[in-house]
Amino acid sequence: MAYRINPALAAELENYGAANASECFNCGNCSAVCSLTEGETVFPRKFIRYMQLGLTDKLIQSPDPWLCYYCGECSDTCPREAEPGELMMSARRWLTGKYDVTGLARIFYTSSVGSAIILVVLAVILGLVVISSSGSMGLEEIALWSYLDSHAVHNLGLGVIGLVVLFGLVGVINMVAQIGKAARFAPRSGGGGSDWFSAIFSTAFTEILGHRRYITCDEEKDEPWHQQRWFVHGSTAWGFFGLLIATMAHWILDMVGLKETATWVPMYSLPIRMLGIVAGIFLVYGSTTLLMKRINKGPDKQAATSAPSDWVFLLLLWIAGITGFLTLIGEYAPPMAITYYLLLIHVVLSMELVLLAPFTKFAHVFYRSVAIYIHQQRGATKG
Amino acid sequence: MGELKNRYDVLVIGGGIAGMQASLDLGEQGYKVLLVEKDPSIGGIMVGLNKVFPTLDCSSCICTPRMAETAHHRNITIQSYTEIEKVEKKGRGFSVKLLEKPRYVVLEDCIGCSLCEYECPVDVPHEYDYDLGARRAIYIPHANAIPQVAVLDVEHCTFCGKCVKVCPTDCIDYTQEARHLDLEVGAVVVASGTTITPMGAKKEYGGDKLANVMNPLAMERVQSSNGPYGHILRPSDGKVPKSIAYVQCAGSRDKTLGISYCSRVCCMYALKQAILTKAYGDVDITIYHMDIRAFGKGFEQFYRRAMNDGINIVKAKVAKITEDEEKNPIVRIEMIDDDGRVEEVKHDLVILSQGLVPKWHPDGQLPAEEDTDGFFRIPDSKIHPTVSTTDGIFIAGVAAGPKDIPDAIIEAGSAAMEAAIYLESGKGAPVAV
Amino acid sequence: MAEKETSPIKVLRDRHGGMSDKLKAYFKDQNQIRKKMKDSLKGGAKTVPEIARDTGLESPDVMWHVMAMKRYGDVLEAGRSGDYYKYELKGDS
Ligand SMILES: Cc1cc2nc3c(=O)[nH]c(=O)nc-3n(C[C@H](O)[C@H](O)[C@H](O)COP(=O)(O)OP(=O)(O)OC[C@H]3O[C@@H](n4cnc5c(N)ncnc54)[C@H](O)[C@@H]3O)c2cc1C
Ligand code: SF4
Ligand code: SF4
Repeated sequence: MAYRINPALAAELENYGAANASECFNCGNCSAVCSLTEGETVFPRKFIRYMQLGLTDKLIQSPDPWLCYYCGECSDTCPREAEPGELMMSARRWLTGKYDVTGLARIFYTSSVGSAIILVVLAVILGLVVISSSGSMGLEEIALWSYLDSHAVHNLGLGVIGLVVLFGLVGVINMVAQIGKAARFAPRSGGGGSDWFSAIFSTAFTEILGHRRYITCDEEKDEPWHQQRWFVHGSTAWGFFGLLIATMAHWILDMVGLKETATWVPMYSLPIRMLGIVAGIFLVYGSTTLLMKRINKGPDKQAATSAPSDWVFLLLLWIAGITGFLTLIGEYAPPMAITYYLLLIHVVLSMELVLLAPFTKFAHVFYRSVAIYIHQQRGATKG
Repeated sequence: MGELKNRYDVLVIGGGIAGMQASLDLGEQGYKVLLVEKDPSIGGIMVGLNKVFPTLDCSSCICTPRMAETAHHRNITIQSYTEIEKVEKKGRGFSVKLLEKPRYVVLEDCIGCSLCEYECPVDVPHEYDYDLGARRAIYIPHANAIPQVAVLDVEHCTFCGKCVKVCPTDCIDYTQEARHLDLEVGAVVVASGTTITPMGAKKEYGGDKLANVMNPLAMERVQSSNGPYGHILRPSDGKVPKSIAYVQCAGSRDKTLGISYCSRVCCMYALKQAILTKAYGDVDITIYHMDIRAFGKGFEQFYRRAMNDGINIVKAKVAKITEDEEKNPIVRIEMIDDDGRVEEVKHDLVILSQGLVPKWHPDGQLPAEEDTDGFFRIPDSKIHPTVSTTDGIFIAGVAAGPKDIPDAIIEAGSAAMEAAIYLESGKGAPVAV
Repeated sequence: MAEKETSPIKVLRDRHGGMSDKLKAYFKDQNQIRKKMKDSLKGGAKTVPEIARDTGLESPDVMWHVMAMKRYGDVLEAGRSGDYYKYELKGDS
């Protein structure tokens, strides 16, 4: 197979991260020190070589960059201090930009001004849509859903989800099509690949929920467990999934006519609310810690450099989590107008968070899941 | 070897091959030289090496005659077991403060018979064999030592008094004390040489805790016929190793260690040790490298010879070394030139090809600047490769940067010539005291 | 010279405050290890791992002490068994 050389690849990637591939002298220390290499699925050296040689196709046709979790051991021990971990991170940012057809992902990764403008404009639009159907802020008693129209919010939510599914799918299809060019889907003979069902199962439970790779990554670290990356990232992910389920539950109950959104039916409401609170605590703990690590640029290596996209994603997540909690407190506290505004912010930014998912750091949830699935299915054979 | 006086034309710091050569070259021209060595014997690293690349000549057979020549030269005075306390500019010369450590043995009377050593009851890990062999609390530094005089290591002395009873010349003097010496010199040649990167520098390589991960200088001793074992054995259990690995650039070309330079000799000494070990036994030897640097005359041929001898040369930077229950070291590598898979390979013995780092950081004891790499700074390295940042101080050998023996000798000659010109021009002279 | 009131070795000892605790422990250790090893070797020539197994000592320590004893003439090399050399006590030491 012939490959086209793109001499600008390394320079292009430099826009996406803080490392320079030309520092690397190809010694292989990074791949050998990496705790996530499995069989012949080996990185990062090979990918840094692709960057140096301008092998765009090789880079884009592999799911392996997504199997790297930036444990950082490679960067800690690289004799050239070429920051191989950061180079892999840059590759993932660049890939997110490549899979996305709208160009938004590229803006979020490379331009802070652009990111800020999109963020504000979108928030204003979503805010106007939500407010256009809003009612009154009763101050004798907090009645959140007589201020916002739950149906309007649900409908807007539906629209947002529709768009996310659309753009998410386009991104994933692009990714899969690229990887497909290297034709590596069929499990290799003797490669230890799994059938599709067990591949999905282990992707969803062991990898995504169980954070297996993160835990492998952290084995060498001596931070307390609650500061380790698997737990912090896990908290954020579990919290987010929990809240997603809680929110969807209200909406589904409403659709099937069991319970209207603004009403309290203990049999359904109590478990949903409990889930919401627990998940909220995890989300706020996780996202706060992640933000703090990025603000302090450490101790984790991967927190040292942040693209606008990382901030957009984390800030939206954090504000959505915090305002959710404050609104809940407001419901039980003496009635205050601010509670309604908090709800407004919560609804608008949650919508924005979800709507921007295919274009921000959030997108790793899709791409990494797909990559892990492909990896599981084809086994840890040569990439 | 003359009596210690208080004026010399040149002070040479360090009695390795470079310091000896500089002393001889100056002494032959009629300059009075004081050679100060901090160890009990002169000879530096070279006297402990087994053979030298690329000729495979016996190292001590070349080095010992030079040591003897230096010691017997009418214009050279050796001040061994002596530290530099302070060298300062004074008038046209330098004032020098030295600290002679007590040997507890009268240098002039000891005949080097070793009777005291055989009598002493305490066995101590021997520095000369990089702790693999033993010496006693009172000992002759090593078979080729000059001066061939015993020294008492008081830290390990049990104060039993046995040695004094057997000494045939009554030269053991427990009452000796450290001696401060003040003198004046006209110029200084620094040849303080080198030591290897600390074995624990890279924690991924076991942090100096793995029994069968060995120091390359220790391997030189193990290979020597007068070495600690008498055979090539591994330190954990005396097994004759059947599989040996060399880890190149273990302590060089690695920014995370703060040593980004190439140490120049480690590729060659690894090839040398591999060829020699292979010649004596049925053994597999692998050299893991980033690239083999065979830069000097006859070196490329030497490298080819090693390959023809069946030594495996594998391109891979060893990332980690661990060990199994039998203390067999396991190296983790990416097979770059193969299909790029990551492998863990078990060996009986691993040698870390450590780099060369400066042995002496003067830290205010000598008015010459260090460079960012820690070696002495040579401001005009193209035209005057041995002239330091201070008038009258010249640098020779590895003190100026990594190099092999022939290069160290050439530099020593150059430093001696620079010093002679400096003195002849009248710029430098010892001030009378 | 040994007839003087304070013998020179006492001068040395007093100046250094006698044997340090560390050295005392080291010396005691050495004597115990040597005794165990000699007892073991009385049963015939052995390799380093065999001595280690027999005495319960760590094999790197046994290796060091065997080499020290060999250097100062307490043990001799006595042929080879597989990949290991064997060592035996010399004469009546
Ligand atoms: C494992 C190994 C194998 C090698 N094999 C070879 C080979 O085969 N062929 C080859 O050409 N080269 C070889 N080399 C390189 C060679 O050893 C050096 O090039 C050479 O020994 C350098 O000599 P030197 O005099 O500059 O330094 P050194 O030999 O280090 O001598 C310096 C002397 O100065 C003394 N000193 C230091 N500081 C002070 C102070 N402050 N006051 C007083 N004295 C001081 C030291 O005690 C020492 O005696 C090898 C090196 C290593 C590590
Ligand atoms: S990134 Fe660093 S460790 Fe990896 S191959 Fe390049 S130089 Fe070696
Ligand atoms: S001589 Fe060889 S082993 Fe030593 S630093 Fe240079 S390249 Fe590495």
